Amino acid sequence: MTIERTHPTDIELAEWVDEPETRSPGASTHIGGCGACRARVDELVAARVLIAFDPPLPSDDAFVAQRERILAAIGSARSPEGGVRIVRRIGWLAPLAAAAAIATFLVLARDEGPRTPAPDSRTAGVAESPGLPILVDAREAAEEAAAALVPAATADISILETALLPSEPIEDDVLDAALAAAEPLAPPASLELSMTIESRFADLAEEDQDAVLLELAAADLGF
Amino acid sequence: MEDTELVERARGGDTRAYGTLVERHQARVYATLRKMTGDTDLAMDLTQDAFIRAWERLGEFQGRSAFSTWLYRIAVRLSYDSMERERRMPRAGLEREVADAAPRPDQGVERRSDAEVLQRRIAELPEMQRAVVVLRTYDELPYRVIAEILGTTETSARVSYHYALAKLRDRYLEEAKTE
Repeated sequence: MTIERTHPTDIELAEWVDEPETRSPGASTHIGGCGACRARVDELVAARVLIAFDPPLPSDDAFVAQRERILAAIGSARSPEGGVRIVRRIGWLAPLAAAAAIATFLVLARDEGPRTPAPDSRTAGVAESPGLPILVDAREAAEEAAAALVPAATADISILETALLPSEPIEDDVLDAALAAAEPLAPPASLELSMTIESRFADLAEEDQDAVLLELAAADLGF
Repeated sequence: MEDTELVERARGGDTRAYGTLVERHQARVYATLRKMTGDTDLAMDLTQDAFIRAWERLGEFQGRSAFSTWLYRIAVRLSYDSMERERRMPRAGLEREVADAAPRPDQGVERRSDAEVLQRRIAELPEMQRAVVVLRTYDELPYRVIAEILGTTETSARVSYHYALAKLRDRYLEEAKTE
């Protein structure tokens, strides 16, 4: 700063307060001789003191309990070099994998021909349920997802699904290979459609949600 | 044992070594997050998330910065995300949160009240300025480290801080006048 005769701006004063080692003698002389600037400096110093004010921390017990929760959480995950870390890198693949799982179900259902409603009264009206259109959208999303993914050939969707919904161990090198094949792919348009499906599902009445879930559960996809 | 050695062990799957790292940095990360969010419960949750996230990403930590710098980066990012969510879905009870983060009653009514006002003003700052204000004033970190944490330049961090401090002072004085 090279201010001697003019008043420094508030930002310059903040700099003067914050970094004593870079204060210019001219600025210090001005502030030392100017009551108004001195008052503004005092206010800035007071603000810093208040910002730095340290409220009491929680008890040690709270931190111990938190530490235990953290260690329990990481204990159930795999080593940091392993899959959990990798799963975090492929956020856009999550809806894609879910869409692909739904596609698998739909393809299976189609191959098996028309479904016969189960005798259970809750499932009896599924075919006419207003929840069903979202399955049609799901089919479109999934087919689009599959079209984007399948040409990559080596990206095995079942491996990705296992990684995203880890229910069983998976070899790191297998997962890495699948991810290496999948990662260069741009997020497909089905990502947006999948999100729309999710949103529409959330908007359905509870009984319609139940109907859709029952339909999916009947396919034993492990959702 | 140094952080670097503990990190190396944790990377090999040694959860006890990681537990030591958690113990060493937990309170400071929590206190910083509390300053940034003004919410004690949220800060506790974010602290936990930060350590879990750090464990998951330990394989990506290359040791070019201190473990604590890298950890802060994760914590600050989580606080940004959380406050962004909160902005979209505002919750009631800001006053309670601010009061939680304020000084104890035995530390003086005036100071408690002033700290509350400042805490509220900090929470209103844009995310970059908020982080810089807390990391510089509260954590007393050098700009080189702040820049690493925030993924910006030292100059940008410095300017943001000076600007934010001046702004906080103005807002604080405005509020003091109206009360």
